[in-house]
Amino acid sequence: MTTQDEGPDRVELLQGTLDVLILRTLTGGRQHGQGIARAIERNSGDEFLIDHGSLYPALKRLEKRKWIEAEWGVSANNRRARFYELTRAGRAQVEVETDRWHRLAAAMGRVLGTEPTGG
Amino acid sequence: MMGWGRRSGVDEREERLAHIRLEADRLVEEGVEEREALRQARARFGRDETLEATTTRWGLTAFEFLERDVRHAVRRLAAAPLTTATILASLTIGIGVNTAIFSLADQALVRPMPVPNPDGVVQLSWEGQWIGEGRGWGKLLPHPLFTALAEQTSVFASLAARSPGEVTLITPAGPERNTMSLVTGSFFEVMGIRPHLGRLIDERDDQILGGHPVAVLSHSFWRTRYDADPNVVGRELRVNGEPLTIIGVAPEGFHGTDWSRMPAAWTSMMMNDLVHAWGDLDQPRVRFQHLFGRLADGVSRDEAQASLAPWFERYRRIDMEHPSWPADREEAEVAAYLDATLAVLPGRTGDAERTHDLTEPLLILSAATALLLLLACLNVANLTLARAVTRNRDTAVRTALGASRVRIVVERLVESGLLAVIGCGFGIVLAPLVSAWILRYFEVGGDGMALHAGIDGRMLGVAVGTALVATVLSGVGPAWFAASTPPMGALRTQKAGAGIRIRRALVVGQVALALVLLVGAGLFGSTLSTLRGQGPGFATDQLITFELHPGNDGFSVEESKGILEEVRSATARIPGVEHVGLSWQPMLRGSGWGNNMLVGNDERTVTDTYLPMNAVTPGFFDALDVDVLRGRGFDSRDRAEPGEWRWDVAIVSQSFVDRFLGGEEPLGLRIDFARDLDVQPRMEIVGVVEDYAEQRLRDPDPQVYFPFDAHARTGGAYYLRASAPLAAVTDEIRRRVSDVSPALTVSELRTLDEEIDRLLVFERMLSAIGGAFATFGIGLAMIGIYGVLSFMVQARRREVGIRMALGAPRASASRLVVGDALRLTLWGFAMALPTIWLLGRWIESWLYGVSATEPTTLLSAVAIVLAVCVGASVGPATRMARTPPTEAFRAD
Repeated sequence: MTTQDEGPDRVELLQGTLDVLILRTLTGGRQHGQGIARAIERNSGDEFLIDHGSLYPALKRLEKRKWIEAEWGVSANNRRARFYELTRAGRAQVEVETDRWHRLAAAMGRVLGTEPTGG
Repeated sequence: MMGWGRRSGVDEREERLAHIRLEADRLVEEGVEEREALRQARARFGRDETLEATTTRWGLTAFEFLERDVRHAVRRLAAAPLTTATILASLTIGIGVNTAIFSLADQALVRPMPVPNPDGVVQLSWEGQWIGEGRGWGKLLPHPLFTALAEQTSVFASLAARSPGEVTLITPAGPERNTMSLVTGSFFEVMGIRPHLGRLIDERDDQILGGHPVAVLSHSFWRTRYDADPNVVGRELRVNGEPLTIIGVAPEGFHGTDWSRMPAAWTSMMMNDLVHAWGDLDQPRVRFQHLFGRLADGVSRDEAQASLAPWFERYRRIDMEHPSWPADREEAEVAAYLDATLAVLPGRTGDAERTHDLTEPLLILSAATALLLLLACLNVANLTLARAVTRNRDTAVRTALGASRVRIVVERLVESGLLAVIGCGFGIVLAPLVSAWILRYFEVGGDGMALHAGIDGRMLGVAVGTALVATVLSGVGPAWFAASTPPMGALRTQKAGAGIRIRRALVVGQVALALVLLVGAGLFGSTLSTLRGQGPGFATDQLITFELHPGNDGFSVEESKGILEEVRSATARIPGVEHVGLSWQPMLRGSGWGNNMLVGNDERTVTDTYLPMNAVTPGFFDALDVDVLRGRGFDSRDRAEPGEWRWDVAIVSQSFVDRFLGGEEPLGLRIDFARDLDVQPRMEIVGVVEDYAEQRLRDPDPQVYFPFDAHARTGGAYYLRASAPLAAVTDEIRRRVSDVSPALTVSELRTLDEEIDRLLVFERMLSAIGGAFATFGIGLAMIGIYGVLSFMVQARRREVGIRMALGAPRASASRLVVGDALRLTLWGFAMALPTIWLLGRWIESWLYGVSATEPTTLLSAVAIVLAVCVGASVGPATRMARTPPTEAFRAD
């Protein structure tokens, strides 16, 4: 998946939405990519149907900002996998991102609350 | 820790593969079979460049991604079943009706004859003044011109003449009236076809006048009447009482040069006297043939026409020396005759008798269909846009979750593509049904038209083409909108933005188109009901008609006369039959016998118009219940001796008196055909009858009648007025005729009401189809208005809430919505009016008793559209009025 690094403020914000979901998921402990994707899907009540592939650019971005770090390990069912973990900066960022997310969600909720009936 | 620096591609790929394995493991735990689990896990991952190389390993192709997208699209479409159903219905009807009409128009007007290299076929046409008679229809030429041309020029590789006639055929399936085509020996060579069985007519059969009793059957006639008998060659076919030998069967699908009147069989031009009653093939004053040919190698049509010009000049000079040349022609007329040209025209589509009368109705239908398609597209665009507005928020969320724009665009494309494909599929199913419905109108004559309602390659092409047009048309609005709204705009704004402006414009267009269709339907409907209400000028409900042509059943002229009389008295004795009359030409067929008349009063006036005329028996006017206003009807005094032709009496209609006699006493005045002003007119007017329609239902023309019994007639049309149920009388008629002679063939047996239905076939068709189109159009416009208003109500809740909180009455909120509906509707009217004016002028010749710009039709159409639009606003207006003032404090 392509990313939109050229994006102005609001695009950043949008990407931050996926970022916050990842960060939030990782507050529960270290997890590999598939586990993160699954957790997001499960926690959204399977509302979000996402390409698992789109997770990796986000993870890469978070890694670059030093909010998470990763290393190879072994999964519960004995598969080799790359595990991600929050850094100290990352933990602080969760608070900031969660706040932004709530503001965005509230705005979205208001807009989505006025669902027009299709003609 | 590996956060710094670039990780290797191998490492990244390794991680993704691990992800897929883990996902697959999870799916396996859920009970999915392992291979399938891997495949699904890979599919969940989406497109990923680092994984492309391994894609094949997982057995996943682009097609499988598409399959996943399609499944998503189906789920999304199913989530809004009403919208989806409306879009699909719009597309189905738009595509289906278009495909049907364009397919019919294609078959009737565009498609070439089913012969090899149809583009090489040319047709000759006499363009300009003709002096003499014409028999038949289309581009007619006299037989001597054909023989002279075939002998004397090297322009043509081959040249042929044909002339169709109506005959009585006796086959194993019984006697019937059908079309037989006379052809010269070169006809099948020009057509370039090979026989299905036996041989075709060739030069051997084109030698001696009356000496070639041969017939070639059409494939469908052979199949239906001879049960596809492989040994049919050598059997006998009785034509007008004479035995012909069947020499062959034409190939399947070949219908000659006229798709609208397929011949049952072909015979040699030398058998002219058997088929046509007017005799003399070599008479240069009668033109009745169509000439088709193929040009010699390397000769173009223009070259052919140019090199024929001097020859044609000589032909006409010689023609003027012929004894049949009328000496009394004015100089200007002769000069015009010498000015005529012999045109070499493309002959690829043949020369169909009904092309002329079908062209305009088909073009009108095509135009109406195009409007309908446009309306359907506007509706689809409107609904798609509504969906897009909703979807935009969804899209923003999904973008937030990392879906790329490409991904989203692909999904939308898949979605609209899916709708287009399904709509197209339904349309293809619908199209033959619509065609069949329309063909039911065309085929009332049952005269063998080669139009098909079935699905073929060209029809599929039209359907797919229409679907593409529809997709593009309905995609423009949403695409414009998508391009003009940034993704975040949808999250930010509460206003509808560009979307609603486009949707309003679309609705205005829908209202305009619906109004145009409705006015059209109103005009055609009013025309039909006026014509029906007016009728032919006499009561038709208890009248039966049938035709009898003893002359075509093998009886002589004298025998025919006796038989016609015998049948008349036999049918008059049927219980419940009150009057029986007979006319030479059947009435109400849209055409017939007519001429200009010379009125022998002091000024020697010539009537300026063609007057319908007929020869009728005593009792004819009684059967119609038409009153003789002055003088007398025909009676036994008007009977000719055998072999005698009497032209001494005539009856005229009241409007003849009003229009041409200027208050003069009609009885005793003499009239004649307007041929020669110096001759003393022969027919004395002995009676005046009420006006009624003889040939067409529109304003009855002045009419003239002659006594049937004053001439030797070999057939005619009977008219019976009955007080008994018509079905019983109909059965009895067949029995009585068969009692007179079993060799007689009764044809065209039906009620006068059915006759009028057949006469009004195009009016009925335009009215019915116009009504269906208008209903559908109004429905679509209603849906469009409802959708836009509902959206407005949602969008303005807060504003209205504030007004309410400030004390505005509830009614003011409703007024807001209804006012909006009215505004949209009025804009639609403004757009529709010029279109109605333009189209109205075009269809004027099809209207009767109304005009396109007449206020009554227009105003009732406007009233209906207005009512529907306001009706559509009731729901949204009520919802608006119920807006709680607390809305003002919600949001932000």
